[in-house]
Amino acid sequence: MLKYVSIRVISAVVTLFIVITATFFLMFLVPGGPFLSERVNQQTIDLMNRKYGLDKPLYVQYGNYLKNMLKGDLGVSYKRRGYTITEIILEKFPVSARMGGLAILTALIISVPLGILAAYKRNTPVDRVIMIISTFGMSLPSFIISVTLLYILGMWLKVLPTIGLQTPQNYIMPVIALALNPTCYIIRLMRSSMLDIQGQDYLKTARAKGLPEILVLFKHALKNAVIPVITYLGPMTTAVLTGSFVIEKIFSIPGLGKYFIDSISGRDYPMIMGTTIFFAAILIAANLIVDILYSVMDPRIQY
Amino acid sequence: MKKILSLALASVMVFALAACAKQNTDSAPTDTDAPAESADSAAAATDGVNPEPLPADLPSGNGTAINVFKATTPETIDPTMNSSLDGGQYSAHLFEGLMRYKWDGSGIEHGMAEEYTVSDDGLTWTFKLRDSQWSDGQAVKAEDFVYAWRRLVNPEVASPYASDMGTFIMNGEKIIAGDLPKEELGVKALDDKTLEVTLQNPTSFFLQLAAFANFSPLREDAVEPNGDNWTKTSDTFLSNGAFKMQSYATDDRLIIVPNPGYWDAASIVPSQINFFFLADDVAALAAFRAGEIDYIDTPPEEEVQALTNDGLFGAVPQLGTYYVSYNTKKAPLDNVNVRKALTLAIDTDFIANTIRNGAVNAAEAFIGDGFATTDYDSDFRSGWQTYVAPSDYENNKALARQALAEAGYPEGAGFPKLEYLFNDSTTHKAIGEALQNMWKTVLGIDVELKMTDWATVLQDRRNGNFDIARNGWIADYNDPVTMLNLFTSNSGNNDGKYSSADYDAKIAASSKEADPAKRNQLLHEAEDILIGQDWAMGPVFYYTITWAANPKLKGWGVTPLGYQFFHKAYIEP
Repeated sequence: MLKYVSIRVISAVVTLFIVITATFFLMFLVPGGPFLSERVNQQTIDLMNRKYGLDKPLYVQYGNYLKNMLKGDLGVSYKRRGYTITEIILEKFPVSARMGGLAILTALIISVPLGILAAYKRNTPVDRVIMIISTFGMSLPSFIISVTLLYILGMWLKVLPTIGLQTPQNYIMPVIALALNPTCYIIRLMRSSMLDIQGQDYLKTARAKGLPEILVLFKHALKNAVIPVITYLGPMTTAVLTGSFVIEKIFSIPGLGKYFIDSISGRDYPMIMGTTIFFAAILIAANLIVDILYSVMDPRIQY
Repeated sequence: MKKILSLALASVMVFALAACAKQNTDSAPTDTDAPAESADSAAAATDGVNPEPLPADLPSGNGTAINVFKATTPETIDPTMNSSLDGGQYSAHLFEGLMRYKWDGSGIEHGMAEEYTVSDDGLTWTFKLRDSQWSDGQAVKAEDFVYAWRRLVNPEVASPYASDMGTFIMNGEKIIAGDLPKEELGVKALDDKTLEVTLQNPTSFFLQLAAFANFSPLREDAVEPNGDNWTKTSDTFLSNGAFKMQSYATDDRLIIVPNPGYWDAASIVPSQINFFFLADDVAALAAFRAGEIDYIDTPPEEEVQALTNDGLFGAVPQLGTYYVSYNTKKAPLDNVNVRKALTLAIDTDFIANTIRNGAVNAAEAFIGDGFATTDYDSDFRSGWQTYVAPSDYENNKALARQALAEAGYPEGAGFPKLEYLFNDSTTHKAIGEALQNMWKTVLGIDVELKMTDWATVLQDRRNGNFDIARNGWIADYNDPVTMLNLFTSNSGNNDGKYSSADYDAKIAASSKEADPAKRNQLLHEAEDILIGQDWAMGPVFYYTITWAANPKLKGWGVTPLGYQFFHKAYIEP
């Protein structure tokens, strides 16, 4: 196990390095620059390029970046004067993560029981209703959900606040918008994997021993059926925790999500690198945790 | 239809207001020997577009909190480093320069400077400062101005607006280029309360600049120990204006409260102003409709109709022009007749009134309505020719065809395919498609549309990597030269690389000219060369400032430069 984890950590570092290198050179291929603006003349742009070392050859910049990164310095934002990348990530990530964490929790609490229910009531009206709703919910893009919620609950009925995350009520709309897609997806995942294991011998044995159905479900069925959900949780958690560009924009949430897109359109190179590295690191970590969880859930899986 | 009517009505009212303002100053005695006296009232002549005249009986002292949406988080709220309109607006609330914008939007008046004198050559200005305090209670001193202005031109600080603003002050240009130390800048503190400014040229609009964010004073002991971090929290953010920072959260809001030590603190009405930083205009509109925000800037265009119907929409002319740049270094656009044909073939009336739903005004020239003459006694545009008549498109079309034939491409025969470059937006796209259609049907010219992201457009435009490109400029101060400077040969924003010795000579002469009437004449002649003779660009429309406001929000003002002032704003009970 320890050996497996250390191999995975080493491969994660290599992956990160490749991601960093590729992103670094790719972003300089895109035309435009961070200081270019209608309001700024070339003399000033040159001045700023010099100030931030952008006048040096690319390989020198790359070397400097790696050197600073190893020291834990991800640089300063070109678009938000006076703020370091680390500072922005540390300030914005908790906001996104808090909201994302609530969304994941909500999704799991609702979807797992509903998925099991649908499987147990297979081909009954209950199953069909759950499946129709989840198919519909899965196919709705998050901006449609967000804007619809905003218009109905915020603008017309005026029952929920529309800006920021000041009060607990502020969380309701963005959390619903964030949780809806994963909830619907997990319902379907849970249902089909429950159905898959229904015919398995160990379940027949358990039932033959006369165990009550509730015990069969929790002690034997769920543990195995939940593995596909765990697999999905890795990338889903990463995406939800690091924030959604659309949802944070629509609900005016000061999270990290919009920096992923805005840094690119603004050519804020250190911010592009920072968000990319951060996202990659979380994704790699989440996948590692998922892999370890497998062996906990299913003793047949050994590392 | 209803909307067009109401817009028309609104503009009539605006013009009526402007006319009122003008009458007032016309009747006021003007004493040319005492510029100190006339500056305040004179500036009002052409600036007056206040949509909400301040009521006489304003509630004084602690009014209500005002919730405002202007834009998303600014790049900075450091006035020296600012180059944006939204940043400028926050500055106008937090800081005060020698002059200040009038809070009803009708021009400028004395700010930190109680009085001033000007030398005969118009170069040396001596300002006497008022007794006023910073947000920490310390007195505002002349040294605070000296420090801030030197910082503006310091090449190590690299302020984006250094060359636009710093060069007006003696030696500014050389300091920015690194050829002189910053201490050589033409600004001196004669004592704590006296500031002497030496200009590079006699600048007739210097008082306007003195109200601009970049010329705000700063406290050295707040900025220097904290570097770029000084703007982050209210502990280190010291301001000398009507308001001080209570809290600042990027992507969320800037909260400001009255500065009790401010010399005119008794006039401040709101107890607090919350400037929200929203990233999405649907979000802004929802918050406005939900009553969480009292004022939103530039509501989404597709909502203008509904807002107008509900009596919530407003618009006033802004000093700025949307235009197309021709790459004058590239055949066939190096031919003046080709540029003339392309310009006259644009149906500006259709673009302004159909595509933009009448929210903007069709352009007839490069300098729009509302710019002041050099002596500030009337509108620059009035009494001088325009170059394109939006109302006579039939005639324009005939002239365009004729010009194209003179260029050697009758009916567009043998004309190469051109590309029109613009940045990603539904409005720019709709205008691009209209232009493409107009150039095809009127001139028989094929134009391909190229839409890319903003940063790429900026780069391509600046590198001359285009045939025709969308362009636009908003004035920094109310003087035509803020626009005309774009087309001098050495201007960094001269994207079409237009170069005319005559034009450059007129602009250069205007900057040295101390006589207002002569200077005004030179600027007009420059514009005549730019469009009337060389057709270096194609004007499309004059910008407007649009908003949606709570009908109970009173006492606020807006300038044609694009700033809104909430110093006296309150919510009517």
